[in-house]
Amino acid sequence: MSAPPSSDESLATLDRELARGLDLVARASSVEDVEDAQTSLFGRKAPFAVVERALGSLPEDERRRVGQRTNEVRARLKAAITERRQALESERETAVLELDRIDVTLPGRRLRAGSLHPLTIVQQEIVEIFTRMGYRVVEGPEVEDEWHNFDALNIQPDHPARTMMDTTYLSVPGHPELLLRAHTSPMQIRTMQAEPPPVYVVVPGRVFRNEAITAKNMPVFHQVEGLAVDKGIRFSDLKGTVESFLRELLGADLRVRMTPSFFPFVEPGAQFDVSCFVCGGSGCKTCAFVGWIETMGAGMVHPRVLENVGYNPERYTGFAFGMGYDRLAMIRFGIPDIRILWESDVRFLEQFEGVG
Amino acid sequence: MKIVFSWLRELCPVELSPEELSDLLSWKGLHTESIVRPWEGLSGVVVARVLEVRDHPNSEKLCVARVNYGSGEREVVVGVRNMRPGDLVPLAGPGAKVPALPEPLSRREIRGVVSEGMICSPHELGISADHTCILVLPDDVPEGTEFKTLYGLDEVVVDLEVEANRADELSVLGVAREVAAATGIPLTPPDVSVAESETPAAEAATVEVRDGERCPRYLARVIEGVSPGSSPIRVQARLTASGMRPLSNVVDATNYVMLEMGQPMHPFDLARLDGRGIVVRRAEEGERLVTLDGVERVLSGEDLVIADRAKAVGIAGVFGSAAAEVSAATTEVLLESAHFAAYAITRTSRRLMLHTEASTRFGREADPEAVAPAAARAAGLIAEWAGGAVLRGAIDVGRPPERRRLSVRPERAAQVLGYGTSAADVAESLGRLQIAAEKRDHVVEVEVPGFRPDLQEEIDLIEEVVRVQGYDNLGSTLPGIKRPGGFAPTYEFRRRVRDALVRAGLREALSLSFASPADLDLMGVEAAAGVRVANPPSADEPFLRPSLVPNLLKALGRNAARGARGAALFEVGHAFRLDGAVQERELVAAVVNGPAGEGLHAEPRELDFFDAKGALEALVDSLGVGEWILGDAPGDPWHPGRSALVLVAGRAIGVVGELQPRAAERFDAVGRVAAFELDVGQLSEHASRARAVRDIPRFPPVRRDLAFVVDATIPAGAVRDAVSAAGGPLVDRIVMFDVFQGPPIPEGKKSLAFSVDFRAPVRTLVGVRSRAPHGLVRYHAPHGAELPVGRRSVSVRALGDPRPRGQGQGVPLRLFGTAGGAQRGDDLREAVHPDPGLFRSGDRRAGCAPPGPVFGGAAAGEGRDHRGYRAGAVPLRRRDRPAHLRAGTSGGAGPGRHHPGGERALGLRASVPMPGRPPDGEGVEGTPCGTHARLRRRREQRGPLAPARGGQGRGPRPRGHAPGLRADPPGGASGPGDRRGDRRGSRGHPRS
Repeated sequence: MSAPPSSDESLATLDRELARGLDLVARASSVEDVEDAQTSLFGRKAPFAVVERALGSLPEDERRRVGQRTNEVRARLKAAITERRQALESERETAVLELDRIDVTLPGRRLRAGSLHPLTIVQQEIVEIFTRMGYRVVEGPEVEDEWHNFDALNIQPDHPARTMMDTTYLSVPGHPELLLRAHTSPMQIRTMQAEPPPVYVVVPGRVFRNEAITAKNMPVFHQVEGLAVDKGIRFSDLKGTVESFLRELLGADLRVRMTPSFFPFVEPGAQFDVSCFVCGGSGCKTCAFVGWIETMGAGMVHPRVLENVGYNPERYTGFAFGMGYDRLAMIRFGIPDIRILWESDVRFLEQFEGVG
Repeated sequence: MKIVFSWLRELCPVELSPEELSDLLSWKGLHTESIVRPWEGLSGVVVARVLEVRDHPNSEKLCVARVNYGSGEREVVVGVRNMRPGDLVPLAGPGAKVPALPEPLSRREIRGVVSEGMICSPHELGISADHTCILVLPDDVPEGTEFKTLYGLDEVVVDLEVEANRADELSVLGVAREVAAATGIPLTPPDVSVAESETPAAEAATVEVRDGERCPRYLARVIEGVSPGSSPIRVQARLTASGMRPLSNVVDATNYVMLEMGQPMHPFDLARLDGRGIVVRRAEEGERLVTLDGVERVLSGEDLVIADRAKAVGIAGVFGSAAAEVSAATTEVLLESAHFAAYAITRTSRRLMLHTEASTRFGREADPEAVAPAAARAAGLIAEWAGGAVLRGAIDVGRPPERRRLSVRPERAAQVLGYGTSAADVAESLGRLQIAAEKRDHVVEVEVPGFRPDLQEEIDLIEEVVRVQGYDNLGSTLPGIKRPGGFAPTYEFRRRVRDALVRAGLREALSLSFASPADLDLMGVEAAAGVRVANPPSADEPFLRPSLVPNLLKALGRNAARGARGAALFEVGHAFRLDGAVQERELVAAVVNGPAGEGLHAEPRELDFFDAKGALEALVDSLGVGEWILGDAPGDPWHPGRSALVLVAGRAIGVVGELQPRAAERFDAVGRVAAFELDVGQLSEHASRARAVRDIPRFPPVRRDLAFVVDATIPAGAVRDAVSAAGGPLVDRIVMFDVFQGPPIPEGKKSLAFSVDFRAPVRTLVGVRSRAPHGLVRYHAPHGAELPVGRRSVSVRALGDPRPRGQGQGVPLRLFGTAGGAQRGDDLREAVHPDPGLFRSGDRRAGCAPPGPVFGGAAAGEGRDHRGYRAGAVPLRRRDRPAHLRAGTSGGAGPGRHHPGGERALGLRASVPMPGRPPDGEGVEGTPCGTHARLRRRREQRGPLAPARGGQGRGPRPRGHAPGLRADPPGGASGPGDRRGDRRGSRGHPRS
């Protein structure tokens, strides 16, 4: 084993190692190179370690000088190593992330979306408004009998609506009275038969008329019926109720007009028109150039209807209204042809994703 | 009702514009359909005198007319020759416009002759439909007179929608009454005076009414010496504008008065009436009559006819016949003005499908009081337009009915309307409508005039009061509803159904409620069980739909035809069957078809059974339907191997499955079609909204992947249930993630792979390596069958458990067992658990004996003998998983598929007897296969893809199969709900 280096030798070694170390670190091109440099500089057999080990054999003043220098060099080298390592690590991370680069303009992954039918969307909006107003949503059968569909509603046996031209009858042996309900009004009768007044209900549902399929008509369409029977129900209550409903549904700035109309099961009868929400009343194709769109038929429940269900018409009065909402949905969504509602074309249905 | 505005103003001279009047009337309930100006397109036509008519040099048919139009002469080529020199004709010179042509006329050459415009026919001028002749004008105006001004053709026609109860408004007079009431301008009724000759009509003809009920009044007038011809041009124009065809002056007069006063009338050629008399009688049953349209009608004994002594000459109130029709040769006219019962006319016209202007008015009950005045006016007009003399008086049988008397209580009006109205106000309002009303004590007594048959009771008069007073003056109030609103349970439930299916990615469709015989046949519904429609909208679909599926299949076909790549649709709706009575049920159905997705990230696969089942699962889970299972295949039209009944509480409430290709092809659907259909009512009986939150587990699970090789016919659900039952309360979640068939799995077997989470609520479980050697044990099934069972084991211990691993101090974790309790083979108890308290004490002794049948009733379904279910299997550690589960290229489930890794599956075997077979030893045996050691060595040689060793159960581990196929997210939520998760099939089912 050779003699320990003198202080001068040690100082020279430290200078040499410092220069060598800084060079090594500077040339390191990877974290591994930095590790190797560290080993080469501070390994057990490295010159630096030799100097350190020899410190003890130096005289005190030299030991202090060399020791001080040793610490300086170690600190400088360690700092250089740390700095270089961090730089290289950061470079490597950047490179790894770069490898992970994607084209962010590629389409996103989407869950398969479903959609409600536009008629369902409109129906739900309608009945929700009425439930907020205190009405109960009830439903009835689509197969009805003549009594509920006509007689009980004061529609006389010779009324034109009772012909096969308008009403779809069933051909069930032993049951000539069966038909597909032509309106949701039979549910007025069923509701009043089932419970005593007061009655506040709305009835959405499918109704049937024996019509040819055209761009404007289908043999099947939808109505929502309303019925309020209580002590002290007045014609003005009908007006206020329907006005509130229509403004809620179609917009607060809408003008609503109530004019006389005729339905056998109401008296006085009325219809409600709204200012055309396409042209605002100035006249367009949607409103047939009259500025108004007819939205519903209504009236005070006919005293004979109340009698038919065993209510006392002198004590109880009521109003009823009914509206088809297929056309409303068409106007609402800009659907040009009613048949589209029934074709189940996915290109149509998919446009209602997220609606409703 | 088309109302000619000038005509209306003759009866009530309003100064409003047609538009203003239309608005005013709509406030009174008389709504306008349209406002048209029929002669808007008429200009520049003048009166011209024909000077000369000569042959066209180059045409046999055409001629050339030279005319003088006041300020010059023109030559015009004409196609007909009814004009003679000296006649006045309408000339449309160059630049003039006529309604029948879109462009103004111009000078043009017709076969070598220049024509300076045209001479017009009535059709071209919009006067009538006649285009066979030139309109020859009366010779009372100078040449050059403007034609449009001459005949007042600046006319406006307002088309009004008349309510079904208002017969009176089917006349100009009736509308004029409404206008008078609305404006206060007095009514000017038509002039009904008539100049009569000395001869009494009663001497000229007779009338006999044999059915006074259907014909309460019959009045005949006689006009002698008429010469039928064209009506005045202005009359023709009014009739045309009102939508009627001008015919001859005699007929036109009756139609004119009908339009004006609402009373339909009919002129007969008196000379052609046998016995010069009218008989009003019922038709003979089967009596035949040719109506004026040339159609032979067969009458019934209910129909009322107008006849003479020998024959029927018309269907009363509906249509005349040619038998006594007025013709050019007619000189004597018998004019009928009668009142017929509305019901009789309605029934006849409905039965004969014959709806005329007359039947419409009589059917709504025409004014019985108008019979005589209308007859007088029509007779006067006939004499005026056709010449002749009106004989004195009328032959009048019957009399007008008594007027109806009603009373109105003002306080009742106030009760209904919501505002007070005095008796005086009520009387005044009704008076404006020409309804005589008089205040008496506290009520108003009303005499209802004949023109208002719709006013039948007090409430009708109250409506008249508010109509006159104005709906616009009514206030807006709201009723004081004292109860909360809400949804009927059926409505609420349907909403949940729809929302669940939308969330599951389906689109709601609607279809008509009808079905064809083929649809019934498809769904296996006998025609006798179908509900027939008497008058279906389409003859092809004479039934009500018994199922929603056929219409959804048609929708798929339609979408395919339009180029859509598949669709996922559902419908909620009513369906109908006949079972003595009509059974109306609400169903929900869905169909899925086509590729699973589109574009970059799409899975390259077709939607199939499992997508339909997935939607079904999403539906029933969100509805909180507790126990439901799949049963046997339902049969046609469903695929025998890919369909099942849906059973809830042992009752079939629907079907899920793929349609047989044959059935799907019938609707032009491309590829596999999967569907389900459920009874909504039955579904709702088992649904629940109750949710009780379970504690969120505080301790991590130990996850083990287990594979079982079982007989290929054993339902995966049965194995899953066995795993679940065997694991007991420690099983937190079971997700099935693979099914594999093909080498190295023996023929007739399949490998089912589950990922099982074990979790203890009170401490952390740690998985440790098995200390059990691989090997075979002999295991006696309770019925004597000896089944070979391979095994590996899982042991689980708690973190911090002081006891060293592998010392067997735990209690058995019985993953596998057998029905009925085992007597031997207890050394399956390799799994350990530190807390014996988690198990019932009996378990320890019984070993493999589970608390009850391992393969529970839930899997087998009630009513099925499942006592034979037995299984023995061993758990599989992740690294021991068969190669096909590790490799990204996991094989498909199809039998006989080539296994890409070529490695043998691990020695996992289950033996589960076939359900339904007698449990007497005919169980299907599992087959030993594979050696773990060899597999493990291979795994270790694999490099990076090989999973890290040790530390199982901590942190995410690489999965051996293709990523993305697993349904469970890493560290995903688990709970009791998930434990059901896998019974219903694997969403991670790899297909390629």
